[in-house]
Amino acid sequence: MCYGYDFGVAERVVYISDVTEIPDATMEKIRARPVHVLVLDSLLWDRDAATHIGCLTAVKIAREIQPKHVLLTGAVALAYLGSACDTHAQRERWCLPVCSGMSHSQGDHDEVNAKLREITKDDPFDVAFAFDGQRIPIRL
Amino acid sequence: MLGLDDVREISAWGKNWRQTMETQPALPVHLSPACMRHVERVFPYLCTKPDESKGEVVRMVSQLNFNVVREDAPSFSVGGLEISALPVLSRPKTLPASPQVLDRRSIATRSFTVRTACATDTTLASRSAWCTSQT
Repeated sequence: MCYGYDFGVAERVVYISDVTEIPDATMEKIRARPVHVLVLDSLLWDRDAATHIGCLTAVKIAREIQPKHVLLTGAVALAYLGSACDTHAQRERWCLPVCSGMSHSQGDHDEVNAKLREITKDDPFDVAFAFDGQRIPIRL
Repeated sequence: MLGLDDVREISAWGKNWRQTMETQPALPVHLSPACMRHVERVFPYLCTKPDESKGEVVRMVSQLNFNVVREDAPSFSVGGLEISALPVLSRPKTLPASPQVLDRRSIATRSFTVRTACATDTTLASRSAWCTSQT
């Protein structure tokens, strides 16, 4: 068990950076009031990892919570490269060395964000990968 | 959590380290009871306050101030901001397990066994030969 964080009155922020599963009781607590910004764990693009959810699961959770803005955090380069690999062998060869780097190039970042916009075009929230040093104006 | 001792760099101390430590409050760390127990086991030197009356000296490192937040606590305050904890799970669906010695003649290696493995443990424990299983 670990903690996400919930703060802000005028504009509420829910921050969950390490998660594989949100218990019902916690989800109930989150959905009790509207969420302005939801910051969610998202290690890989196309699948969940052992101790983190992936991007697609993060989008599913965002649909349950229905915030105004979603920022995804904790991504590795594998998030993008993984989708370009057809076989498990390719993933092992191309993705694992990158995975340890815990960083991605700006090109990958923009491309993944474009894909995110595409899969969430019918959702009422905007979603994007966060970046180091990002500042979000919020009325607490 | 394993970078916790590095976090103390955020709370800097200068040449006059004792004066710095007296004027700069310890870095607050907010954590769950389970995490606190883990920190106390892994980093005992971060969790004990030196007792100067017994001649123990304050180390030349910045100090951490642990605040244990229970799951049912309504909120805690950081710099005047009220924050509620949201308990979530962050655990592997599969766990690597080191070799398990069952008795003097048996050893089991489960190199990535499904977490719900109580039945497997029972099965392994009933055997008395060398046993290796992998899922």
